[in-house]
Amino acid sequence: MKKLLFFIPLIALSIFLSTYFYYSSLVDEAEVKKELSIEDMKKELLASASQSVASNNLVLFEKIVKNLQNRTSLQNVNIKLKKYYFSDELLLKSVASIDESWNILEISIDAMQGTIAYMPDGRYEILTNDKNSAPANITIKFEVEKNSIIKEFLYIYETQKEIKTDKSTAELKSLSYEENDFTLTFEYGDISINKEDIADKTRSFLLNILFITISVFILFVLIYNYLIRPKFRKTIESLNEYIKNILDGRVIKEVSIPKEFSNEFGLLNQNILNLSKKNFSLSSELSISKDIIYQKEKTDELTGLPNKKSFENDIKYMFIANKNGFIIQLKIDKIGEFTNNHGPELVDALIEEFSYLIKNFLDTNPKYDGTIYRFFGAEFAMIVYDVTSQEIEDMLIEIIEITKKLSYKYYFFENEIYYGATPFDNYGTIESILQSAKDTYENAIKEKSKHYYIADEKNQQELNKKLEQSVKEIIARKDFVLQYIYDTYDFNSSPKLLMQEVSALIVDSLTLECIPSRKFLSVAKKLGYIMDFDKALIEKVLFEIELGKFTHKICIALSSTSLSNQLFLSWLEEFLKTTPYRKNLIFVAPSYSVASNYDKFVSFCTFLRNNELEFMIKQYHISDLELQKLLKLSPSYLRLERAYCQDFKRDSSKQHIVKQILLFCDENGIKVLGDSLKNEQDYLAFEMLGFYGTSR
Amino acid sequence: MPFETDPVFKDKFLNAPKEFFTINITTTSSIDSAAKLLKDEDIVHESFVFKFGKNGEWYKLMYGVYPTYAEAKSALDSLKKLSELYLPVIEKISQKQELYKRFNKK
Repeated sequence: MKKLLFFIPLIALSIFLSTYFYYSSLVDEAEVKKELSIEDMKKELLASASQSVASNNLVLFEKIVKNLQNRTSLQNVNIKLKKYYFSDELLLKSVASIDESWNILEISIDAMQGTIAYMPDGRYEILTNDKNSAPANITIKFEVEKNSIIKEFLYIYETQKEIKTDKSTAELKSLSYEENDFTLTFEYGDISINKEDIADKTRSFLLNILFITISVFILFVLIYNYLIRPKFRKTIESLNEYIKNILDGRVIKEVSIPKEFSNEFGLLNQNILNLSKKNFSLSSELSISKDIIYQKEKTDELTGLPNKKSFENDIKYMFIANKNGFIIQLKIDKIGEFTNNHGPELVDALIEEFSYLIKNFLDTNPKYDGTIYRFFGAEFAMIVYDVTSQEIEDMLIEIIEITKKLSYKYYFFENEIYYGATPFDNYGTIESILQSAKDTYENAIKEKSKHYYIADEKNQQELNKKLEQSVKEIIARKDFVLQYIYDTYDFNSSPKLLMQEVSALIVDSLTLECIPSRKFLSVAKKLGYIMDFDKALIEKVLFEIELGKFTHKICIALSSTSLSNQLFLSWLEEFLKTTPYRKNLIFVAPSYSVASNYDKFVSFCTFLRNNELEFMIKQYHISDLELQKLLKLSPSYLRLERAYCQDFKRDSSKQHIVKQILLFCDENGIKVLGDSLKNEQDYLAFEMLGFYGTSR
Repeated sequence: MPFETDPVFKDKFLNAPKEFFTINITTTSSIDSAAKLLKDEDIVHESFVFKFGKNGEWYKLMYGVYPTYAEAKSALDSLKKLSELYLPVIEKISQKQELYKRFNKK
């Protein structure tokens, strides 16, 4: 509707022009009428003069002139006869009491005025004494007779007549016509156009056209609002619904767009249906392909078991979800020797069967919620959730019993399969947990007889208690130093340092050993001190920036607990208001953490944008977080996972994924960073692709 | 004894110069009416009555012979009663001399 306002000046111009042309036509018409009326008036006047003179009836002429004077601009008129004819008929008709049955005996006029001559045609002519100056009126005496009765009458013969008018006109034009029998002189006013009449007509025209325009406009608005718009909206809503269905991956079987738009919408219906089917088919194919790729990436090809990457993801999940359980490392020992003796085919068969037995055991025993992973060769791992030491021992005994038959089947006379189980350490890292599992596995080999070893849970609990105490003290004293890692440079010929990520270097004051950052944060989170630590971290970073230590940006990773806490965010908002170096900070989080706490991060990113602060997603892997999900987060930076960056040039699938990511980020204003680029060719490729920067 | 115009005046009238003036009093349909009118007005000796018309049925009454129009006018003004009853007109005498001759040929 706002666009309609654009037409108002055009409509106003059209109305103005129409009115102007109408006014001009009225003026032209009035001019023509004026000319015509003057010409008509002259013609009528002359005709009536001729007729009146011929019939000796200037009275009739006077009547016609008076009528003309009323109708036209004719003013004073003077008619002067040149010859003075009359007839019996004229005289007889001049007296009401007689008629033409009476006979005229004699006609006479006063000798001073002239004499009467008899014309051959029976008429009479008055011959005045002075031919140049006849009296205005000549008195004719006539005597009539009927049945011996004689009567006398007088007839006043007018030789000229002046018919005046009271009208006054500023400009007068005078005209004189000399005819054979008379001289006609008259005056007329120069008719002025009736401007008031024209103005009235123009005003009336304007009002009418305005009325029509407004009526049409109102009609149009009503038709648009109550007829076109609802229909149009209904159609668009239908289309939207269909498109939404298509986007949601549902197949549309029938489209019910209003039938009145028959042909075109019929075609549209068909196209929508085709599009829906095609889209569904494509997305099905795509998701199958995607599933296959993901499956392949996380699955061991030989056994179909999840691989080490899958194991690491599940461990991450355990950290995030704060799960309990046991991690078991298991291995068919001396597999190399076995291969030499029996060939790789048999080894593969052994590994496959071994995998199947354990997987089948876990699947058929609901009391054990666990998964077996194949790392490589004959090395496996297991995660068993929510079990005690006793339960894990029972499970291992059962597994050992099941797998015994393999010794006979594959001439595997010594059972060389060992199991090392360690409780899941919530404070640990993937590496520390794997190391712990490896240690228990070594113990199992040492013990030999049992084929398994289970780490003491209590021992770990004691260690954790000591760790918790240390963490409390460190946070209370803010007793940690900062180190800066992930130096990220741009791609200039002399690369400029763009950013670094801060990491706390924490030393246990009792053992004087470094506490791994991951472990420290886990403990702090569990104890409820994580926000205090995050605050201390931010304060220390800003203090060092203020000291002038850095001109580049510093990335800070906050815990999900802090960034979703309103009190913490209020503190952060207030604290950052006081510092001019807020622009030097980039808040950062790994993509798997963002994916696990997506809603919290969406809210946190909104907070950051409102406070003009930047956010970066690091270790970005498309399987953690779909590209579309980035839209709500709208990060300033995206650092790709290391796996995408290494051996980039040699892996076409990586190139394809990275190009897709770059395209998406370019469209959405996200700067993309590489991670740990080692290879020079990869570095050049990233530079060519327009990466913002990279760490090396 | 039917009325007759004074022969002296008749002669004077008919022989008067053409440019002289006379007064055309009226026309009557009988000689008696003409005689009565002249007697009533006492202008018998200055009047000339003669017949005219196809059948000579009309009598024209003329009065006086005047060398000028002014004299004729003065005479007409003196005939007030006559002027009220009739419509006398001053005419050139020649017109009536011709009229007489046209209808009174011997």
